[in-house]
Amino acid sequence: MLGAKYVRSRVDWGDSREPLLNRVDISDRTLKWLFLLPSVAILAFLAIYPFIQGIWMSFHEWPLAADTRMWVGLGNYEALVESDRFLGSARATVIFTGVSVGLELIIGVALALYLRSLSSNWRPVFRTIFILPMVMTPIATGLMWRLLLNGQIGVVNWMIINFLGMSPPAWTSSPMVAMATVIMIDIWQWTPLIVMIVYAGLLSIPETMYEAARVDGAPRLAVFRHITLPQIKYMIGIAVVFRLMRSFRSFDIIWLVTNGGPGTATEILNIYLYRVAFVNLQGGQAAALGIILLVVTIAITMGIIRGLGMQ
Amino acid sequence: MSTRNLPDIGSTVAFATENPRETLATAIKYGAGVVVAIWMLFPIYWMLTVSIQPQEVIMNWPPKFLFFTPVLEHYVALFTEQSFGRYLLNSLIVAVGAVSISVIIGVPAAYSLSRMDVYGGHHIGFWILSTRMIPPLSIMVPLFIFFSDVGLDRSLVGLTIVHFLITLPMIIWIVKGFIDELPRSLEESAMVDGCNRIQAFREIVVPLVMPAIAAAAFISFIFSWNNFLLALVLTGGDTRTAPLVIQSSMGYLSINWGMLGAAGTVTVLPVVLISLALRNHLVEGLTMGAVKQ
Repeated sequence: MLGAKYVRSRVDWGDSREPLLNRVDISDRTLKWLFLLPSVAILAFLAIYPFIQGIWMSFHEWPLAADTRMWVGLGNYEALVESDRFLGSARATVIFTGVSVGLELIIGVALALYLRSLSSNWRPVFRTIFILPMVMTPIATGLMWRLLLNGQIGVVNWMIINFLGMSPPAWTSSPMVAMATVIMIDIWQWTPLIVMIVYAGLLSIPETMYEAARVDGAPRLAVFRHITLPQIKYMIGIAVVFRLMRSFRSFDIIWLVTNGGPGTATEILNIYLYRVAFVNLQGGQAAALGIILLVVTIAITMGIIRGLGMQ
Repeated sequence: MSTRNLPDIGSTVAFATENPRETLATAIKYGAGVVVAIWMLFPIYWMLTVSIQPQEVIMNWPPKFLFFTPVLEHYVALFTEQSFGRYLLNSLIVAVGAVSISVIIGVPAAYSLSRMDVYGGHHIGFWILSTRMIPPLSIMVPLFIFFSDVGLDRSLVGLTIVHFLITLPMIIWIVKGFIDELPRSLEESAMVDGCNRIQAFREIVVPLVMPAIAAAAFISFIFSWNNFLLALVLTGGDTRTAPLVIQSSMGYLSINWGMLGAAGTVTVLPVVLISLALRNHLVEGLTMGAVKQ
């Protein structure tokens, strides 16, 4: 009995020249979960486990350098809300994200309209140019701008002195100017993304709508407000979502260009969190900060996505 | 003379002869374009320039924009004295590892979400997308502790695992978007002809979405390659990646700009080449398939 079965299966294996996977018959019900499982398991480990562990840690005093941990309940959150440094970095984050994304949106829509107004010879040239800043390694972007704005050999200072006849601003050593500097670099890197997204939206507007407006003799501003803008509203929404997502994770450029300084002027939440966790080694406090950051980020981006009906 | 040339000539003539106001407007328009192009390109050009200038020229005042004798000394020093090649290799190992494993497990997941009516598939898909929204630092503290406990901190294996957070959601979403657009009838007729589901997936669907898989793989490669923060938390010493080495050689006192320019140029070079090759798919990738071009 056993022997016959063994032989038959041997024959089966020997006969077939097809790869093993093709002969294994798995029902769709099993297969769909088999296909999903590895990805879901990895992402759950990387996203859900640290979130839950983070909540647990945030209720403790949990020094990263020692093995002592002490339950403090909501103590970490209370300490954060009362600390000036946290409130300062929350404010810096709001200013950095709000001003940079706002300006990028205005410049980006303007440049997208400009791109569409070009002849078809020039469009690909500009599209290629616009692609470059947004794929630059952020650390290299920071390096470029440190080089450009350097006090001794910085070529931007040289241009300002020689072409404009003014004295150059203190790029990274005055609090207000340092914030403006990092916002400027962010605008350099990420305006192109908005340009490309909005431009994709502009291309989908049927030409006939413009022809109708032209026949009616509508002024340009009216055409923009009543034809262009409603048609690209959805794309602008997408651009805002992706810019906000990216802005809430900004770290590299500020870290390299101002290091959060001078003082704590450009210390956005990410920089503050890094310092609490890996400089001060206060694991519990850092976990609490991480939970706050994560909940706020997800709430804002999900809110916009639901508002847009993107799902 | 063929009539096809007429419109071109017409527009050139208009530029030269029509009323001066219109000429001025055209000039302003193209002038503004040139200004924008310089604004976008000059920082990149300047990093490249400094990397091939001799040290005296870099320190020279006024700076030289165009005419100088290019040298390769900074690149030679970078790869011999600083052994930057090893850190580039680290970056490459992590990015290639994360991308290739993400393709292997992410493409079947995309197929399953797109085609196989998974219970709650819509929510699972959206949850996968939302993992991409998480600010990485907010979950790095528990992950750092976990990796230290199992001895994977300061190792490329640990960094590769965390990089799945960058590459996997991206590949699943982009590829899913493309499978959604394929007509179901292709697989169905193959399955009527006796293929099973796995064969239909491997021999019909995968070859058809191969261009999308390649684009998704290269775009997520760019993001993995560019990443700095995860490496800052999880690596050190010999396991540092290229951006981390650039950052740690930028002290605030004496900076070797020539060599750093060379390091920056070498680091962005693969990214620039990939994105120029993929320029028509890049925005689609950056928005995870939300914007089609």
